[in-house]
Amino acid sequence: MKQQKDWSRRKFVQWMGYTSAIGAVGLPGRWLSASPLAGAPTSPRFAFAGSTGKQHGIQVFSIKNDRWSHVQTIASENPSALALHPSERFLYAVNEIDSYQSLPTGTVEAYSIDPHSGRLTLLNRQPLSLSGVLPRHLAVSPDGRTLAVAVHGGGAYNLLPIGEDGRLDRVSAIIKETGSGPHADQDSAHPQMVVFDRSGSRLLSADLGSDTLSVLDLNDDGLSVASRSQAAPGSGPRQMALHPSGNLLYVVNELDASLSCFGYDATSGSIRQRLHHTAIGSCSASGVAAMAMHPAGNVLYTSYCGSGAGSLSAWRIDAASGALKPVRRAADQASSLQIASMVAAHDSLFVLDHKQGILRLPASATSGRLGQPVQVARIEAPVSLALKYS
Amino acid sequence: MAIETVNQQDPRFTTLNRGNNARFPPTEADAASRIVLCDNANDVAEALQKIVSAGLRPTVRSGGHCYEDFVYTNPKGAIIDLSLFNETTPVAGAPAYRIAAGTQLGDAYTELYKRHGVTLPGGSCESVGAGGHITGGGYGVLSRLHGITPDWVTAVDILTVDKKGQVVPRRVDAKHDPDLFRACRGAGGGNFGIITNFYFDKLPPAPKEVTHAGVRFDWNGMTQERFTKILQTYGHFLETRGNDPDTWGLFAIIGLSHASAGSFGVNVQFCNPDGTCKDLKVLNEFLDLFENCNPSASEMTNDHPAVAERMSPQRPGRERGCLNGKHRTNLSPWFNATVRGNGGSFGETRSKYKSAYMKRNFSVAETVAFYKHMHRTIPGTDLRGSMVLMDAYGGAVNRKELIEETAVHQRSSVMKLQFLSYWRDPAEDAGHMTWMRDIYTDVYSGPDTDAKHKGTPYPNDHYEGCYINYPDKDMLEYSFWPELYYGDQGLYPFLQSVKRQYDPNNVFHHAMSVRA
Repeated sequence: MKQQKDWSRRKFVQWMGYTSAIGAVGLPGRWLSASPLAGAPTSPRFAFAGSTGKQHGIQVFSIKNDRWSHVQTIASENPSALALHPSERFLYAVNEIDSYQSLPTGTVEAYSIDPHSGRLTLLNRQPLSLSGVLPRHLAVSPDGRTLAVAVHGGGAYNLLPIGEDGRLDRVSAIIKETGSGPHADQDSAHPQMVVFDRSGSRLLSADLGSDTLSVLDLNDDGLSVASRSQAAPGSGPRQMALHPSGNLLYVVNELDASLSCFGYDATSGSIRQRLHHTAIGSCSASGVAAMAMHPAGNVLYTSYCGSGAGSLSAWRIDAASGALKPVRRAADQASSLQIASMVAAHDSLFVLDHKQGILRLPASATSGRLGQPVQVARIEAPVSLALKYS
Repeated sequence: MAIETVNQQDPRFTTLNRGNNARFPPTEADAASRIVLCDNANDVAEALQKIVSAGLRPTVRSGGHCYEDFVYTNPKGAIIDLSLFNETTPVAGAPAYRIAAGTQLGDAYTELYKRHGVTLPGGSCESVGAGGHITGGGYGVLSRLHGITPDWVTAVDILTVDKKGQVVPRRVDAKHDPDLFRACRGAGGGNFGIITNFYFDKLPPAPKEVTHAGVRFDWNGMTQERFTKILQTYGHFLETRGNDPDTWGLFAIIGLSHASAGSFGVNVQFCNPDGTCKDLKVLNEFLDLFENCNPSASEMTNDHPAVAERMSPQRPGRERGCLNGKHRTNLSPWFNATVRGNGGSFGETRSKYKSAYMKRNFSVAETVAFYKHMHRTIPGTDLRGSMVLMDAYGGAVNRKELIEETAVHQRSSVMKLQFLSYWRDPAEDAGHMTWMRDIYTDVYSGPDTDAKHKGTPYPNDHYEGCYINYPDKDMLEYSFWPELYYGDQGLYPFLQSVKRQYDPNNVFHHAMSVRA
């Protein structure tokens, strides 16, 4: 794929911007040692938002001067996660459903993106492996040739090849997971998230059901388990983000409302010992944890919304040690939010709030402070967001 | 034998990666990455643990006769093959009789008969494996006399996979894991774990002898009226007289072949409840009924293998039987009539199946639909191998106390129908699938079907759903498909609870497995 080989450093940096929270893809440090180049767009041009409310589907917005204008609504069943292709020409959605064409499985969809209007056109839809019900997350490999899916309900990982035209081929590799934990929600494996590491030949995954962090190898046979690491029993890893340095892995845990930092050996592809661990909120029975890392890798945002109260925090990252230092009073206005997910951009944090839709909080990359939230899109129950910069 | 793994590079792979139905696996991309052969329960447990730990999906085969793609559509997964695990010697501390899951029915009948003089009221195709057959409610020629196979099971050895992914060997019975035990008695294979052994405290005595007879009808000149009369004569006997215990040794089948095959027949196997043929009164009473239906003179003509499989002495080239009063009948020792090395045409034939349980006689509307589709032609499709087998059912099967004891709820039916089509050329796939779908939809869209469940034999006063050992993925298009197979009286929710408890990670799954 010529287009991908010719990627400029600028594009990588842009790409990093939107994948930091959606796909949490780690990139070689040399591309990230500097701030985005002068003249490179640091603000997104288009936004794609998935929602699971009454009109579940994907909403397309064009963005000018932080104002979002609605462009299109695409019918899509429970698009729990969205991921842009590295070329920004294609968008992928995972449909968190439990049946497709009468078989017990979820699906993924491929869309082409009109570069001028941002409008989406469905390329194709592929079923996941049998029993691959309720898939929840997906990631595109750095070379743009593979889509990885975390199947929450069915407890599995799937790979699907991506064609040059952006279309998805049928599932080419499957790992069926087992496992459990002490929490009532941990009767079986529930993979929540997949992230490619910098090599592109490994997947890191978080399994909420079994408190397991895994490294999976992509190889000629498909997919195999390279290593497993146990998170704290009952913690319920939900989201993970690989620091741009490539050797720090941050994991937000939903069941005990905590945040962990692990060392990651990018050479051997193994998760090392837990370096840091901290609470991110007052744990409750039905809490939702989310996390986003600033594109530059110096601030991490976490949210934890239980019944009644929510919390939104910012943490400054010490890239040498992985240590986290809380930013005091990072977001004063956030306690009423019910955050499902967050996406960090260069100067903004986008928050997906169950009732208010998508909110933009001005973000300072240096201090970590967040400004007042402003509603940019009124969408019922938004759950996923992808930003296109080019 | 150590565990034998046959991977895709092994010359045995292409042979072992297929079963009885040449349609599966549908494509190379659907195929498993390996076949793992085991000849004892410990090896099965070890193999299963390795497969699960590696994140592979296990599917399980004993005889290879699954009607759908539940075993062979397993992309890059592992097929655990139990066909070499075929022991029948009793185990110390276990019930008197044992059949390992890989045992073929013909071998089980031989062992049980020669060693003990007993039998299992199972199916007539001898190469069917015990594992899938018994687990899915297997029945056969002796079922009206002795019930269905899971009725006799008193314990099973089963490997389940716990929530942590660890293989757990269990011997389950009415006192140990009783819910799982019940689920193993008829809910169908590939749902909860791998059954390695079946145990039986007792089994029914094998009949001493059986008598076969048959009546044939030419399609040529067959009017709708006469056709209806034949089917209703048959159904009426089973709906009424067939409930009397003195008739339970009578098993009959209409092999309703497509008109292009030339004729169809009623075949019957009979013995008295005591296992002898000293008194043929009931048999003659049954055969007399068809006297007025203008049967063909050539009553022992060629039967399709699917019928002949059940009624061996009817095959051409065998003796023509002797006259017993008005009827030509054929007496043989039960064992000789049952075990004859009939294994079917393994792996060469493509096929499709559907099923229906019937509580009542045929309605006129049903016979009209059968008649219409038996005369339908589809360009480029040879329908000579397309038929409906209408088995006599009921009798000892219909003991209501077994509804709660087993996972087979169909205990009120008097007939069990199997729609089937055989062909060889993949180019005919679409034609055969269309024929099957259309005849079935038509037959079950008549006045005995309620509007909500049109196109299916949904359980009601007339029908009792479908048979999970004749699984049909076409039924998945109905949201109520589990009720077709498991009824609407709570069996499916029960099976779902067993599934959640014993296979929380859904390691064992296929297109029609119990969905928790």
